[in-house]
Amino acid sequence: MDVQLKKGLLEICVLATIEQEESYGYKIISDLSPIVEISESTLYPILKRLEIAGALTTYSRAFNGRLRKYYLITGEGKRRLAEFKTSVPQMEKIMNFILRRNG
Amino acid sequence: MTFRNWLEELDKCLGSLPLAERQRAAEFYKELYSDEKEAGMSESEILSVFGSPAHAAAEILNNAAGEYAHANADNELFRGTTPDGQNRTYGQYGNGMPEKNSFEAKNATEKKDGILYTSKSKLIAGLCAAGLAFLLSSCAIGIVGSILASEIALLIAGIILLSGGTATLAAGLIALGVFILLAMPIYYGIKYTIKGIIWVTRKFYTSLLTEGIA
Repeated sequence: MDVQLKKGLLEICVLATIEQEESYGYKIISDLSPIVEISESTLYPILKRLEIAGALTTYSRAFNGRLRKYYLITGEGKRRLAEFKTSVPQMEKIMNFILRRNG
Repeated sequence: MTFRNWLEELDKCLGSLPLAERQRAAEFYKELYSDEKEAGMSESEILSVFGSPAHAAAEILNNAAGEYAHANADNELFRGTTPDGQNRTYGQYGNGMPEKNSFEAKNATEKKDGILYTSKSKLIAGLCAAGLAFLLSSCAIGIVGSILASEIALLIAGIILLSGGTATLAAGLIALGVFILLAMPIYYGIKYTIKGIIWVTRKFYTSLLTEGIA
């Protein structure tokens, strides 16, 4: 998959995993792994970018005698996700066009 | 390689980043390591999933440089299946990764290091230039301002002195006039008083002598 396209999709995927409830690094990877290829070293920059962009926020909570960082979606993150969802039909058209051309 | 060594190596590869950023990355991997360990994975399996420290560092540095040149994202050699049966992206370390990829990842880190250093150098040079320009312009403004201020102060002082001198001259003339006006009657008053006294005295003695002779 194209790197830039994958980058954008992964960001949306991460936002989608934390849309309903907060999550943490390992769980995000576990939730996304069956759907899309994502490694630990890929997730870290994505989470950082989203946090810098104000699409998610973090807090730490004690778990099994250590601190675990939780990621929560923000209003900006929800807005981005909603924007992506509205663009899906258009993307579908583009995909169909590409597939038809190549098929 | 132990996880501790892995983290040390990651820290070395991230050497160009600020300490806080390196610590943040280390915390992220420590947390994942703990979670994966609790999920039943062994240390070597976890490190295999993490990939080489150079690869992980390259991802972080790519992001830090505002790029996303993850050339190995679709590399077959990074793919694999974890012991829990999930499809995961694997790294080089402990996964039979050829030297070529390890070299590329290392080079990518060094390249990013170069970019970061360049950016930092440019930033520092820019700040120095801006500081110098500010200092010089401040000095120039200060010098021009002080010259103008001193000129204006001299002008004001001159005006004050001139007006003061004129006022003093006028006051002197008025005082002289007043003195003359006051001095003349006093002078003539005293003069005629003395003359009068002398005339009266002369008259008195003349009459006494005339009466005595008579």
